[in-house]
Amino acid sequence: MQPTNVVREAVMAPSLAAKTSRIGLVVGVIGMVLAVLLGMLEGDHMRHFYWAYLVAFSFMFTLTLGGLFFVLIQHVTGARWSVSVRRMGEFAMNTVPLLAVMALPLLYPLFTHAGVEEFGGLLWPWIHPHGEHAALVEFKSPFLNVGFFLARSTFYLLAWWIVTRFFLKKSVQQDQDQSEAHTVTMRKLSAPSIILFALTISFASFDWIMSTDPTWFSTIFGVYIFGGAFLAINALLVISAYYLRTRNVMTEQITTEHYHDLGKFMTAFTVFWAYIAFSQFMLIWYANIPEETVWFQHRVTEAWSPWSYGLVFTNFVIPFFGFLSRWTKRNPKVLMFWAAYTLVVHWVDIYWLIMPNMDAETVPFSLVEITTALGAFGFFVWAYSRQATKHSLLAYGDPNLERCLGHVNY
Amino acid sequence: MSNSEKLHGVLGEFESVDQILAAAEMVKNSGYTKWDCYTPLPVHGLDAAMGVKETRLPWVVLIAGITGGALGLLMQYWMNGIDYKMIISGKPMNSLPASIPVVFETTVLFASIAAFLSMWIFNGLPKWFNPLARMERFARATDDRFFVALSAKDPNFDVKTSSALLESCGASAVEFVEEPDEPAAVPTSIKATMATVAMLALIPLALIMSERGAIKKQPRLHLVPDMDFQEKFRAQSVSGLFADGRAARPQIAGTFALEDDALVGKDPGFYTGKVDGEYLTEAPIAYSDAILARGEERYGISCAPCHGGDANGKGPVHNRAVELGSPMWIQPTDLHSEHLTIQPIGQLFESISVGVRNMPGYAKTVSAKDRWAIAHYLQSIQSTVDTGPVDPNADPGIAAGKLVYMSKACMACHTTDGSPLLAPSFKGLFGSERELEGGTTITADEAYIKDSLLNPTAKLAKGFQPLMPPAVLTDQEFADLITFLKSLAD
Repeated sequence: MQPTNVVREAVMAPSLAAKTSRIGLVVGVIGMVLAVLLGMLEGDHMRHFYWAYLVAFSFMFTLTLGGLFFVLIQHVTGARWSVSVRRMGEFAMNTVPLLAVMALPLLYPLFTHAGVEEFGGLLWPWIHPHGEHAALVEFKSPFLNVGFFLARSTFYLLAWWIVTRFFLKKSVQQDQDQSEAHTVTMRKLSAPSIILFALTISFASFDWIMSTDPTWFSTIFGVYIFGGAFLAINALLVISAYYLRTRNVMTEQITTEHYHDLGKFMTAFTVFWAYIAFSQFMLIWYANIPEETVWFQHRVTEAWSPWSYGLVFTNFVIPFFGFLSRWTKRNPKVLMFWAAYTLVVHWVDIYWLIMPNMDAETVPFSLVEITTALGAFGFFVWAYSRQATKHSLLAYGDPNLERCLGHVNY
Repeated sequence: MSNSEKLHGVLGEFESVDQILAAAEMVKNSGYTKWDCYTPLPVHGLDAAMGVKETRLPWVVLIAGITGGALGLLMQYWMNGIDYKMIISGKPMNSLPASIPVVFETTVLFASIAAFLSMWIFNGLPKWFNPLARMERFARATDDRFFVALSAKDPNFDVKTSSALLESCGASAVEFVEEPDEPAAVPTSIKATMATVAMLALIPLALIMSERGAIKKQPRLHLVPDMDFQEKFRAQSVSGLFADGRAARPQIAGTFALEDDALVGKDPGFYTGKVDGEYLTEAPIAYSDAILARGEERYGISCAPCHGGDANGKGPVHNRAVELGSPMWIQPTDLHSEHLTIQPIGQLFESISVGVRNMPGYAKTVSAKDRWAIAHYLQSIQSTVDTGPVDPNADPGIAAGKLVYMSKACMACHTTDGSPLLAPSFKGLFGSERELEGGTTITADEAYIKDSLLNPTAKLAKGFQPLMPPAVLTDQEFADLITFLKSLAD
């Protein structure tokens, strides 16, 4: 059943890509403008808005980094099945410039805390340590200070930008010259890139997300974010593939087998997420050391407890049984549903990670969250799909294309 | 061709993947059900071409996985919550988070074992013999040829049409496969070897069982010593871990044991057995079968080692001391003694709590409720002992003095029947001439007895060790004791 005569040519859908990115941009602008207005109406010095923005930013960050890891893992393993969906992963990772721009508003909370002194700052309380835990936070100031924080953040973005640029450029170049040498180069460089990826995603998670509660610490936190990121990118790829399929694009290249494999990744990483989340929880719960337990105490004893217990079902039990059947994974329409579901609950997960640090007593969920999430996702869709106006949707120069198209799951 | 009864089927050889796929398609369409394909490599699409049904294995695995998870949960619930309750890390007995790792493991264990075994069953394994393996041509099924074998058991099978079908599919060779005349017997050497191995495999098991279970005079072999002898600090031993070199930690300054001091004030009767200096005659915990059972159990754990299961003062510790001939050993109190049977329950409770003479207090190791349960239990077994009729004409002082004799533990060393134990018998003692250590003699009058109670070793009776501790009696107790001694002088 190996396809004998694969046509190696670009799959271009510029008008569809332009239209999609335009919709993304419109949703992004409207969402963000509305979010800012709603945030101003709250009269809390934009505190709620900034926290919601950090959630949206982190959600975007996991999509971009998920894309990077997806591409790196295909290269490092010499994967053949994934050639037809890899280019979309490359588009997803090549949104680092957008991520950098989206990070700019976060400079404001770094330097201002007028009106929010009682919280120690708009977002990161370590900027102006105060209150009963001031000494604890003060102790961490050699690491958690504005200068070093900015330097680290710049380094992460720069590193990601260089790596993602390189891998996209090589892949596009291969479309032109069809040289196998690019595959070898990318395979060699993907291994050190994965090490860089592991360190940067961990530390970026520590810096941007975990330090919203600077007294709390969990070494597995970066792995937790990574698990969610990889889950999210697979969901995004399934949604994208299905979106293209309904427009009659890439229908030959992305077969049932590829949906099946992406579905398997989602199944596996749904379990992985639960595994990591539970590992983090159980060690802290068992040891019961106050400075660690307090983080979960905020989440399981107060207003957040329905969210915390709900997460076990929405992010593990329900999708696990949803994904379990082979039939689900080989049915693009059904898989598309579960992918969209996964993306939504992934956002809920990030919301649950961050927001109790703003307010442990109440769940501040409102339109601000929805509009910032839609805004950030809109911008992401814009940057993601815009690339398809210039590049082929298929990495048609990849020497493994035949193997990919003839790939069969047993 | 031999006769068709011995025919196993017909085998067709094909040279390429495309040929076998086409052949499989044709055989399937011809309505055959008992047939199979043999290929040297996994051929994509062969299952579909053959019309092989989707396997039921995933359902078996799913059910086994869920069963495993549920059993894992149930097992821990029963062990930790019902059968062997132990507080671990201050968590509730049944802690779901603590159970999850084991639930995960049992789920995977059941699912994978079910997958493995079901795969064998669904594939009809183990299959010791297949007539196809005797075909010379068939060896190439592991190399570069593809085969279709139609079974003679198939209802559509026919010697002529079946072989013709394979030929029409493009088989490069078609051969009939015969069943062997006699099923080959397993060689005796293999049978013998297997039996021997099975027997030998039991030896280590038997050795382990004998080492672990049998009664032995020599110390057992301990392959994993730290499972048998846990490293730990004993109460009074030396430890380098702490600066003061003690293994047992002294009470921290400024703290107090919860039950003894903090709660006593709230309910002195319950925690001391006394209210305003008067012993309670009614236990604050009502007598019930459950309390009695609890008391019996706690008595067995905390009291029976010395006082004995029958409470006659002859527990295993006592028996061991007698066996070793310990010269200093004093028998634990017989709990059926008269002076105890007339004690109010509050006094029994106090004795258990704070201790009596050599017996330590159990307030720190046995909860107040359990101590009351033990007291209840003691009274229930004491009441079964007949204390005999009371002589109404006897001097009440004698009975009172006897109680002093018993409750102050004189009776541990001094008998009343004339036989000396660790000390002279009280029989005929009062008013007699006593020979002392050092050669002098003295009359055992009130003054001498008073002296001896306060300073027992000063005027030691000849032939006895200086063992007796000073005894402090009230004047009334002393008078009663003298009355009692006088009654024995006759």
